[in-house]
Amino acid sequence: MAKKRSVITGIGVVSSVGIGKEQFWTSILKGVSGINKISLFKPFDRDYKFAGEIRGVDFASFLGEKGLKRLDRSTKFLLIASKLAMADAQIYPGQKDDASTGVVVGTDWGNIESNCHFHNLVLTKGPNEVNPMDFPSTITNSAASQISMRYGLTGLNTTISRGFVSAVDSLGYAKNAIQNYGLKRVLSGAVENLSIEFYSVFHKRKWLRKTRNILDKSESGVVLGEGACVLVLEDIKSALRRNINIFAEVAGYGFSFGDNPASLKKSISLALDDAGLSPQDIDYISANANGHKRKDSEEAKAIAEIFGGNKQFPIISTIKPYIGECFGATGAMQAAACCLSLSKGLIPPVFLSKTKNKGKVSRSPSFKGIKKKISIAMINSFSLDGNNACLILKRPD
Amino acid sequence: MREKRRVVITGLGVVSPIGNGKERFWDALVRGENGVKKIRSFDTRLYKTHYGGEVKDFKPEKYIRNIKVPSYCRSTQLAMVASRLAVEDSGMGKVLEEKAERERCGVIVGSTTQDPKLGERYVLIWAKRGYENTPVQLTKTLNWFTVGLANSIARELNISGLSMSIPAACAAGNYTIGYAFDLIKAGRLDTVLAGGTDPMNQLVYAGFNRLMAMAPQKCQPFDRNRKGLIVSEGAGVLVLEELEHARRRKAGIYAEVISYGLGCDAYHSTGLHPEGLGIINAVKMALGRAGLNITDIDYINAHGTGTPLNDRIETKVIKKIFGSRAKKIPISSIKSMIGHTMGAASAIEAVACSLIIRYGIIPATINYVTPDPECDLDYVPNRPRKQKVSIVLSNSFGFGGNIGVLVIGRFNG
Repeated sequence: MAKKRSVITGIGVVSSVGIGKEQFWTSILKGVSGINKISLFKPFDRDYKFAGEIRGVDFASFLGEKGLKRLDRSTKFLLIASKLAMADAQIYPGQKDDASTGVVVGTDWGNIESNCHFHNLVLTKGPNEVNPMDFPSTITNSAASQISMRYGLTGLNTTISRGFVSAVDSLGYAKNAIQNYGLKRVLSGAVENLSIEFYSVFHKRKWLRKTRNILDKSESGVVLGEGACVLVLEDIKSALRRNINIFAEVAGYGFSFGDNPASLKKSISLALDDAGLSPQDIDYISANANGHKRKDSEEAKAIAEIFGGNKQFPIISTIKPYIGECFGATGAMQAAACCLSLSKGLIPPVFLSKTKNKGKVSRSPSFKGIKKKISIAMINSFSLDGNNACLILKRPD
Repeated sequence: MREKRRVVITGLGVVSPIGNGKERFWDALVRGENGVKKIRSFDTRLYKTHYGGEVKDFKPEKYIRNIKVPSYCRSTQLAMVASRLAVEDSGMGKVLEEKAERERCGVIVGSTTQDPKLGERYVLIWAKRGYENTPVQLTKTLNWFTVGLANSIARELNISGLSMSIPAACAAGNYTIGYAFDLIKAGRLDTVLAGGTDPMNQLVYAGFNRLMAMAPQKCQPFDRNRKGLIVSEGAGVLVLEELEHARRRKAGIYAEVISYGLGCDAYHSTGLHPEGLGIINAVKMALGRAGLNITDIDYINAHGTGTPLNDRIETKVIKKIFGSRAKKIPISSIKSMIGHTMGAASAIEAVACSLIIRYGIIPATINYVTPDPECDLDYVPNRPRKQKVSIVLSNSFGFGGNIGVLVIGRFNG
């Protein structure tokens, strides 16, 4: 029996460069950056003041006033992204096949603010000072559960946590769910939000940088970002039956664990194997490149080694100069950008390599992106502590 | 076409309030030991209840050899010890010495949140000294990511195929075992350590206290006078292995993972859907995928938390699914002895189910005194029962209406 194929039929993005796929796409194509001074909280170290913060969202206009107060920042981002993705895929909840729609969300720290707030009250003010209604949102699967509850989707509800790479694993899990669980479609995405807790731990871990430009090689570190991105993965048969626009097919997924170049290579080759493709087939790589010097050079090396023999070296670019390192959510935004590149034949800057130069960073002179029809795109997602994942998307034939 | 890959359970690791290691754990289950005692790890004076299930005689230093895990990372420690026990039990230690095997091995662990005891450390330091004084050492010793639990195990055991966390709250164990089953079947991995963990902590203790969901002293699932759940701690980890891989190395096989199912109530953050929507879908999916019939199930390991609502709805739904057969299937809740170990619960229950299949004894639902007209099934009250069991269904229901059910069975060659 042929395996069921999963395609992407809807995109919903909430990012620091725009809400909705159109705004997001226009911004990254133009090279508009969402990196700015942090306003959400007071950074205790004035030297590290930049982040890709999402500002000025009128949550009520998307989600209505009701129940809004109880939802944390991550949950609100995620609910908006889900709503936009469903509208894009022309799925209307409340229909009889809600049971064949599942939800899979990648997040590792989406709950951290609510969790710490509740825990702090318990420990410093006493257990009777907490509101029991706030208890569920301390738990990592809370944001995902809110999607199912709000939109009545009863297929399944899973949260995947894998640090920086959670988003790609969520898409891999969703692909498996469509293949094996008989679901027609899965809302699959990821979310993380900026918080003082997030900033503090990354700052002390020495993972942050002072400058806003991650291509500035005089220092090593990431610029934090936040946001949510949800994609509608659908069984290709269901998508064809509905005659809906298909952005891309999820062709391959690979994973590995190990904080070393060999392990990065492993996840890439496993994704290629899963898709039944060879390095020659890859036209474009959405790089992990987030400004962390060691990891970036390991990635460049892994890419050079795997694709070095290509007749045509893949085009490589990164969207992180615009949105920052959105931790567990980044991979889904990379996937959204790749979907749009595949369907529109345009690749957003910044380019890390246009020619076969062994992954050496060379900034594109133009920030307008390039016009090129591509068929297969690869998304690299590597963490700073060993979790690696790779996803391959294919233009529908 | 490629031969269908099958998945078997070849190693069990458990750390629980009724004993650490499968021997002591099983012995206590059969004896019907009560692991619920007065809480010792923190002062409960401000709480309405004072009891919980804590792990005793815990000596992580005996099992954690390669990476440093401070004592305040209890969730991680519990999971690491359970993993080490599972690996030793399965004889996988030698296998993992080979690089190719390590690359085909994964760790998938579930929990409710990031290690809450490490969280407590951060929260107290921040409250006292401010965010700017976060100790660098604290951020470096162990990462506080949700996946940090799994990463620590993978590092300790040198596993390089996959490290992942599925934080499906109180159903986490079944979610991790289920996904591990899928990944092995699909040929992505050959062996996976799957399980769940959670430590005794004030975040969860306060949460359930404030929800008024806790019993004062004992957990009495399905009893008419049941008063709620008991918050506990523990970890359960199982070695899941592809059948031919297990056969080649002549590993002992406890049971076969036959199927699993997921469902979502999409109804309420903390309470179950009154008609059991998610449970019904999950059981349907589990039975459907394996081509099983309701008559094939001969034991149900209940979620059975001991809250008035859970046990009533679980009973109602079992009757809905199994019809007239419901009364003939023995059902028991080992939470009556252990309490609710949260993210570890369904993994510990999967360990119990593996042993039930091996030894042909069904542990009792203890503390059962008064029958409830609304819970009128066979709960194996107070005394274990000698009975051969071939296929079990293990229920688990988590916050957010996350439902996961597991079907495991006797391995018949």
